Amino acid sequence: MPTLSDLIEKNKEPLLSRWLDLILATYAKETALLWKQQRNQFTNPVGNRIREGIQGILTCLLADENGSYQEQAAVFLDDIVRVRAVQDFKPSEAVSFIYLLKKVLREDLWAEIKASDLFVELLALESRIDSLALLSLDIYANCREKLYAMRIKEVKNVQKRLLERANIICGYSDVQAGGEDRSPE
Amino acid sequence: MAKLPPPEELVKINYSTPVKGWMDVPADFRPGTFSYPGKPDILKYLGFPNPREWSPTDADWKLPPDWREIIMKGFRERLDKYRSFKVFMDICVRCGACADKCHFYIGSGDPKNMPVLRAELLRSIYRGEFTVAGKILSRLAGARKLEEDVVKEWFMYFYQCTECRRCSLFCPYGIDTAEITMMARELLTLVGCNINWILEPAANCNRTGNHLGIQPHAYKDMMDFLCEDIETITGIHIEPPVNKKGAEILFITPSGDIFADPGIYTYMGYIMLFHELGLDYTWSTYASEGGNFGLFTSDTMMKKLNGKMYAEAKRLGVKWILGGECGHMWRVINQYMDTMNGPADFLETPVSPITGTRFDAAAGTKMLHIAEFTADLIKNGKLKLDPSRNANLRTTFHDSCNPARGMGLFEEPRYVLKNVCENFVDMPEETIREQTFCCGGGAGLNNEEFMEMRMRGGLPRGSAVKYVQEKNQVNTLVTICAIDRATLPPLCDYWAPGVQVAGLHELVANALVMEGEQERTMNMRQEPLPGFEDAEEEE
Repeated sequence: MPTLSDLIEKNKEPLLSRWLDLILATYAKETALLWKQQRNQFTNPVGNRIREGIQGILTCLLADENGSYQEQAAVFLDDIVRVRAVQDFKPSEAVSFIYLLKKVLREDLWAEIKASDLFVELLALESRIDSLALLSLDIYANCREKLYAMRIKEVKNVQKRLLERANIICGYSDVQAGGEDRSPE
Repeated sequence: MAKLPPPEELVKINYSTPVKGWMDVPADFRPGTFSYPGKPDILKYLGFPNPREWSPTDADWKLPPDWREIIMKGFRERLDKYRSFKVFMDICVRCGACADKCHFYIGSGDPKNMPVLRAELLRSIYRGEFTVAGKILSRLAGARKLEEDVVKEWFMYFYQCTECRRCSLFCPYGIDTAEITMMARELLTLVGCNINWILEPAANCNRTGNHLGIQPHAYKDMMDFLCEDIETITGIHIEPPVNKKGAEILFITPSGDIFADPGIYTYMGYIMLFHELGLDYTWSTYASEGGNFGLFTSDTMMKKLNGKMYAEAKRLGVKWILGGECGHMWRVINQYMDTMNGPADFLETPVSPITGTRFDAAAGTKMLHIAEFTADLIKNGKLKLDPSRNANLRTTFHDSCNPARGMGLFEEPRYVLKNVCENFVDMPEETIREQTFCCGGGAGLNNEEFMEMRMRGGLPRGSAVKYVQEKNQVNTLVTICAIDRATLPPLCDYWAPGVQVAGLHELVANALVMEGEQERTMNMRQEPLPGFEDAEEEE
């Protein structure tokens, strides 16, 4: 009797290819085509991050023996979510790619899952996929917070130095502990 | 068994892209993807048309009533004036060689960021309004009429182009998309659609000589401030010459480096280098800006702002001009200055007073790039350098678009860098030299409200940095552009956290052994030099 993991392992290539297609279909048609064809990681960073990311994620999901799949998958999720967090997506759209794996598994393996009665295993796997979706949400929020933090830092960097250097506000880099000022003024 | 809802129902998303022609997809303005419009006061000061309060997210952009005639007239004038523009409108065969070369397209996947389609936004109007075939065949000939949505689309996508010219490198006809963007921005300016991050620095530059509107006394104050830091680090007191008549050389550099991290360390590096050489040179509080945001506005603005370089050289009576680390400043100098404000026949071809080298490549403009100047000094053994002071840095070099593609400056900065730092490795070849990827914030788009878009456009550069960070433990990205020094820190922070950004002459200053210096224990950032980490802790 095959397990669900065996079944997925056996069909890994076509499953990943279909998952990739579905994710790329969230972009414009001509873009999906280009990103699928172009294999150079430097001139096609998005396509390659997705391609390698989903492979890593699937491996983590299947190799989950000690329950550390979330930690391992986080790196691959980050590669993809970090990109989608700055593209033209709503938050739900940005992290939705993970659910597309459920779609692929159900649609492509349904007959075999039914024949071998692997529904319990499927439910367990789908729960793990769901938890990765929540993890993706954390990563997404981190990325967006980072963007805003960078904006604030940029504004501060410009304003503060200018004011300090124009002697409009005082700086404290020359003042020693106890209030003694090292500078002659 | 009950019917199972599909998983995607959870998020109710239609995954397929709507199958619509690009002409039918209007520009959707969302915060993070556009820069704020020019402020009315600034437009009035510059004498630019249609000053008003407006936002790209408004339905009504308050265009002048005769906006269509204004744009058509401007379009016609430019087609007549620039033969290249006319050729670029006619010659594209839509081969697609440029399609996946733009960093904004690579990062976003938005087809309107494909250079061919970006130019098509303008070409379709050209065909629809100026060609017979277009007028008759309309959409069949890829033509359309000028509507308000077209103006909005232009505003979105021509302010999502950094004029980096990477696409032009791959075009078999050499179509310069940067010049197409320049034309489109000029047309937009005619009806009052421009961005404040470009106009305010241009206005400031026109008024005080630099982007920030720093007045002469304040500029001098800031220099003194930096000299105090130099004294803390080296023990040497320097009083750099300012507005000195009769000096041999006038030095001009971007004002961005005088006040913001990490540019100030490069600025201090120049002061130290020139002092050590005993160079007969001067700074200017009038030509206190190398950058030229006129380049991103209109040819007349660019010419006007550039004019001060030669005017100040003439007033001070110098022999030639030395220029600092900057990006677009060098495009203006190398490609336009000579014909725009030259010939500068009152100046001489730059000759290094230290080595005697004559720089014939700069014979036209009479303005020499600091990387060439310093590389020549090192080649002739005129500098005493201690690269061990940079031993904690593992560096790579970001070719800035304009010095790289605009003037072919590849080897000199690398030569200097390798001589002041022993740990250097290049990023993959498809991301450097003439193929270099933009920082995502050039051509006046380095504003904070555009951060999301900058990160999209910065992905290709970020990926290459991350690669050398992981493979070669690179921790410092060196660059010779002031805008890069402002835009690359957040880019690295997002795509390759842990990599810092430095200017070339910051590292030169670290390594420079100066006559009469105290024992150097800290670098330009006042962090302990390698080997002195413990000393700081003991204090």
